[in-house]
Amino acid sequence: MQFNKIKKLMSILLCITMIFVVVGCSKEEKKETAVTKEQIDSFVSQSIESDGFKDELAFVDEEKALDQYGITKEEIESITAYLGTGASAEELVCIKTKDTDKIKSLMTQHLEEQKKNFESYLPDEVPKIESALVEVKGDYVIVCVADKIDTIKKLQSDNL
Amino acid sequence: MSRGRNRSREQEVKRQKIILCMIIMIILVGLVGGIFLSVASKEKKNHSSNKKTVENKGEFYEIDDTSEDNSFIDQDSSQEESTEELTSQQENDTQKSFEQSLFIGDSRVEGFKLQSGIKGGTFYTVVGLNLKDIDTNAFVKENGEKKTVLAAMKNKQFQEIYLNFGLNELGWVYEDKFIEQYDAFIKQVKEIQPEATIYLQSIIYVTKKESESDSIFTNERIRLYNDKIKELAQKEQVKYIDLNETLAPEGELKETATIDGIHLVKEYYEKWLQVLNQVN
Repeated sequence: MQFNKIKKLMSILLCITMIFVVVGCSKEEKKETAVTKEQIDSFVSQSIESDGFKDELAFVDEEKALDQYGITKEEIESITAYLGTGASAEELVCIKTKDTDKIKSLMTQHLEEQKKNFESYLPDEVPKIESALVEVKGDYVIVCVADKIDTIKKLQSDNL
Repeated sequence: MSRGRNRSREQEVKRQKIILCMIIMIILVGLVGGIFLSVASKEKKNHSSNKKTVENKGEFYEIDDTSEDNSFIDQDSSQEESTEELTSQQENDTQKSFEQSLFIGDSRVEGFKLQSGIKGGTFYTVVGLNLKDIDTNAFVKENGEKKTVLAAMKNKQFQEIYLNFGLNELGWVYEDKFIEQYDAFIKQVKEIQPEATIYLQSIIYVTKKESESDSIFTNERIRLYNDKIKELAQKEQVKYIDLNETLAPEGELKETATIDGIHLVKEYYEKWLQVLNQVN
């Protein structure tokens, strides 16, 4: 009888232990999807220096970047934007925000407008816009239009 | 019988001990595994790859006020020498205030907005902007609405308005038709913005390679259009800015000045800004 009680107690302990292990693992998975500023900076600098872009992208200050995308300062925490010379639709922008759904929607709208603008002006840019990278990683919305988008996507998966 | 019972009891106890030991081992393995995963995850977080931080490449300087001058002017050639000495925005000491300035133009002006380092200014720019649909092309975003240039301009009074048309109109059959439409546009701008000083900026040349390979974007045609724009400025008593005196003094853009024969690289957008900084 006593032995049976011990067995029951051990079974309960076993179940509790397994629950802790499973919960612990899932928490670790959630932590791994959070993205840091250092990771974003690394991804951006590697992308700019890669051969992924045909245009020469330059850093654009926050005011110009927000104006470019029709986003208000209150909607975001930070924005890192590299934009082109006017010769292409290429761009790379990383926006940190609490409302990733809204910003992603705004950026998707921006890409649709770019597509219309370039259809009659430089139709060769349209495929680049259509294959744009649009991703949410943690608190960051990442958008990129590039000549070699696969290069940028690989850098994104390596860094983020 | 009793011996048999004893033996079966012993076997039962032994079996239960084995089960108990297995349960204890599973619990220990589960605990150790959980601890190991936690430690491994923390190590992965702490270990990061090359960290080159992204630098802010836009820096801005003291701002000077300028006074309005409604006389017709050309770009002073002595200013070309001073702007040639500047290699980047970061070497400039002062920048004119463009807070009350409006820029209207095409992809080149869009590039100027993004890469010249200009501080302030309102930009009604879009790739492919053309006088033929300036009255109907609602591309200016304001308060969630899209407006034409002229409609958007009604909401705010500007001190200076810089116009840049002609590149996307080089393909028009009749250049006089271009001038006629440009003239009509300037009149509309004057009506909406009576206090603003209006500047007509010249069409910047293209590279020799681009000029020789294209039937529309030729420097000869650009020269013709610029002469007519200059005459228009005189007629409408607005100012004309000859950007080519600084950006393409030899009558063509250097190959190193552009990304595709037409659009400028950052260094030359910065030089463009320096030209405007010198304009009174």
